[in-house]
Amino acid sequence: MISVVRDKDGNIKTFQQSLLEDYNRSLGESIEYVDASMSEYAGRFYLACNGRSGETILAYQSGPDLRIDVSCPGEEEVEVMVNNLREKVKLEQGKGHFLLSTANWGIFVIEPADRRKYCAAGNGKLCVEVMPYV
Amino acid sequence: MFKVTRLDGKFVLEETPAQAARKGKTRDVETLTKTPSLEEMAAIVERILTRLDDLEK
Repeated sequence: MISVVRDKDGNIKTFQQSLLEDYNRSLGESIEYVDASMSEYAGRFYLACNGRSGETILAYQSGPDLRIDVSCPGEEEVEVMVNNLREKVKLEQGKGHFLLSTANWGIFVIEPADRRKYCAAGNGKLCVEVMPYV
Repeated sequence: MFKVTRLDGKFVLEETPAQAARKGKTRDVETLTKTPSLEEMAAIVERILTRLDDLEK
């Protein structure tokens, strides 16, 4: 059983396997329970770069493009946010990908566009820092 | 948050004014080794101020 904590806007804030009965909720937060295993629930939306997920990916300016893999089992497409841009990613057998350019330095933040359906934390969020080539 | 655009099927980070100013640093140093014109000096100072402004944020 998974406990899902939602913020006042209904966005998934976090989830965990315990029942969270004594969780200290902030104003407007709610808890719901989902009958699924942790791996099933966390695997509904998954972002990775070179097989790495849930951590900040470092790259250098002018290096090769970075491929971001998106996994969303059972879906034909999923919308992601890349900083200020909303992007629809086509999926084949629940998997798809897109490219990030390293032409300029800065930080890419990738997360699900639908925060009520998917959690923008852990494996569902990816930060890619492109560092300046000094 | 850095602004992103889509170009040739890839996501590209938009260059900030400070990044654009930083790009010209080698050229600016070279310009200062000669006798720069008033316009060149004004442009160099503007780029320095842009980069300083970014550092102070």
